[in-house]
Amino acid sequence: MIKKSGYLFLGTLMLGIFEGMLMGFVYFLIFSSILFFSVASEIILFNVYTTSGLRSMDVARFVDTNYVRKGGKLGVRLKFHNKSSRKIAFHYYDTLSDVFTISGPSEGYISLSGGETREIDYALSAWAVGKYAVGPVIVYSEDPMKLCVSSYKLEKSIDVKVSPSLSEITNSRSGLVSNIKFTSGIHKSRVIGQGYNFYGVRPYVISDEFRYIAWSRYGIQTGEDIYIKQMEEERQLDVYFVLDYSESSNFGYKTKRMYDRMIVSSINAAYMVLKNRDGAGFLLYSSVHDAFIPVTRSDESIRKLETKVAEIRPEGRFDLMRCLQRAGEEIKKNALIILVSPMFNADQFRSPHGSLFRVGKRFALILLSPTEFVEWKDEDKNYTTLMRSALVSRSAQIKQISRSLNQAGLKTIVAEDSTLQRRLAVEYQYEKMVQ
Amino acid sequence: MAETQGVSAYFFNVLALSPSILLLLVSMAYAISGLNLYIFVPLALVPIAKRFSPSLIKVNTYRIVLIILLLLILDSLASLSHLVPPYLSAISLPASFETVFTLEIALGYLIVVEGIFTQKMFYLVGALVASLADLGELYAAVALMNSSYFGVVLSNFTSTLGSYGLGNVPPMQAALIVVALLEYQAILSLSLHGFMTILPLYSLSLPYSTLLLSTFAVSFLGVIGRFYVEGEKDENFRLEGLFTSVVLGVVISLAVIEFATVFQTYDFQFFVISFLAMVFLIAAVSSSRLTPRDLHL
Repeated sequence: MIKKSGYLFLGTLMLGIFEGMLMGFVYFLIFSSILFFSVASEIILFNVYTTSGLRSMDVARFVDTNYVRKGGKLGVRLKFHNKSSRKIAFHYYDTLSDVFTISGPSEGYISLSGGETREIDYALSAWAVGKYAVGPVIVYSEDPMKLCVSSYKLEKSIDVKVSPSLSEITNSRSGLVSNIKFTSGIHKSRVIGQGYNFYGVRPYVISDEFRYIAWSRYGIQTGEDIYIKQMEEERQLDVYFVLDYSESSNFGYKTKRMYDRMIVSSINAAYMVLKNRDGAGFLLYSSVHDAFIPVTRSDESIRKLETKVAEIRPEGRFDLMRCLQRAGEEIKKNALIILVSPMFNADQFRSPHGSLFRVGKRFALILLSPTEFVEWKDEDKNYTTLMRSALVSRSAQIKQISRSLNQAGLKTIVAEDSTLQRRLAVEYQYEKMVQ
Repeated sequence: MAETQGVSAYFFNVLALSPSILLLLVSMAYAISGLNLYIFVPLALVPIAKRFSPSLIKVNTYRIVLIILLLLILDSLASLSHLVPPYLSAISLPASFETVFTLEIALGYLIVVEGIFTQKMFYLVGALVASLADLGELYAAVALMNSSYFGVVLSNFTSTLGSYGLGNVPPMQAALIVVALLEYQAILSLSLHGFMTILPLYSLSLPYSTLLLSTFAVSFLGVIGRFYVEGEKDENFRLEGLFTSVVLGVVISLAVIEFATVFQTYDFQFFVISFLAMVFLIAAVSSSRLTPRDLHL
């Protein structure tokens, strides 16, 4: 393909020929003609010779596995084979998402003699959960005069699934630090009712059933006093983490993305819930995604979430009212629903009537502020000023949203990335205490 | 590394623009007495001022210069009609052949200087072609001045101008106007008859013609050298491709020009060269047609 500069170059030289002829300037005519025909020949030779050479290239990709943990290394091997008998020199690059950190030559310039094969090894490491394409491999070559370029897609892409990093959720799983960190002060509320655990006794009143009389305590003080056995009722709390998995969650920069932090914080909070012998479930919701993972009292739901988030990426739009309706349909029991969303778009909470936000369950909405998801570039003062201005505006906006939703009857809290996990824990603890 | 490449690029730019530089020097030698220095000197300082300007002004230097020039021309037209106060009339451009002549030389000078400092290949060749178009006319005027029949041409021209009440015109400016008229006649002839009857430079004996021919050879080497230093990793592979295309280009163009001379008596040179150039242009474009694979579909 001739580049724009190539067309301009040829056009200019044709103008030179025309000019030379028009003025009868023979030297200039000869000069322009030689240059024009040299450039034109070079382009034709490149298109015929080099381009057909590129077509005879074979590229194969081999990867260690297509399922990795965030931060884990994924080895990739590219195998280039020149099927033709002549030498081919070309540039290559593997098409990769910006969530990957690359170590090794994923792009470069190589020349292969006829029949030669060369293997290129490099490694990838992802910074966010989700499913990402690796590839295709693009090879391209430029002519010596850099006036045209020929490029080909030589290898289909493969999908790599990235699940949450063990290092980020290990604190909650270890049971050492996490017990002190997250579960201190949380006690199961003792509610008297029907159950198997003995709680205590109290004096008999007329409305009590005879079957609960503690005969072993009969007449223990006055000789005729009667006592009733009290049993402890099991009051376990089911917690659903509902996550806004729309495009608005795909905010942040290479090493820190909003949806990734939402997943990690939710998993950590879910481990804390499980340690307290309560149940944890999840709902990833947007106009495209609707992944409901029912409550379990083991880490099975977390495992399912890890698998699920490795297969999708945030897509579509988020509508608060529809999300609440959807949560209401799936969650039958009286459970605690904690919804985490950045609420970036105005149509995400467009319900004009407070009554429509009625959830019928214990509910908390955590608005995730974008403040800590911005990469600061100290050297670029214009960028810094613009970003600060945008964040100040967004902070005011998000506080206003929070106030409006609170007035409409939805408990709403604003959280930063660094406080998200603590906010989730606080909401859980609060509901645990008041249940 | 980048600085070294920049310096070598300037060196090749000077080589590539050597015909324009020679024409500029020759023209200036004849034209210096007829220049309006109040216009030429500020314009000549523009490339220097540009390099010391803040980046916002640097990228818009020539736009600013053009706007100022157009405003001055507007001011001059308004001054001729006595529509502006005296202090604005004082800065207007004089409506004379001298002004047009100065602007033409200044344009050639600016194109050459900017061409020397350019980092882009296309701008270099563009500057070469554009400067040769402008300075070629001046060079033709110099050639006309050196011709034996210039005295007759000048007297005819002066008497014609005198009949319109335009007074005397210096020889260089008169020669330039005659050459420009011949060029317009050539374009008109081309449009009406399909071939050229008037060639301003073809029939004149050119001053410094041997030196000029050498500068064109140097210029060709300069352009190819610039292509070469633009840099690619596999030098041998690159050199091979460049060498082949240059040899092919020289052979084809010489064959084309030889072939064109066969048709000299029939005035078909223009047609033959244009036809073959178009054939090569179409071949170059059609050989690089995009396929779905190119488009990564």
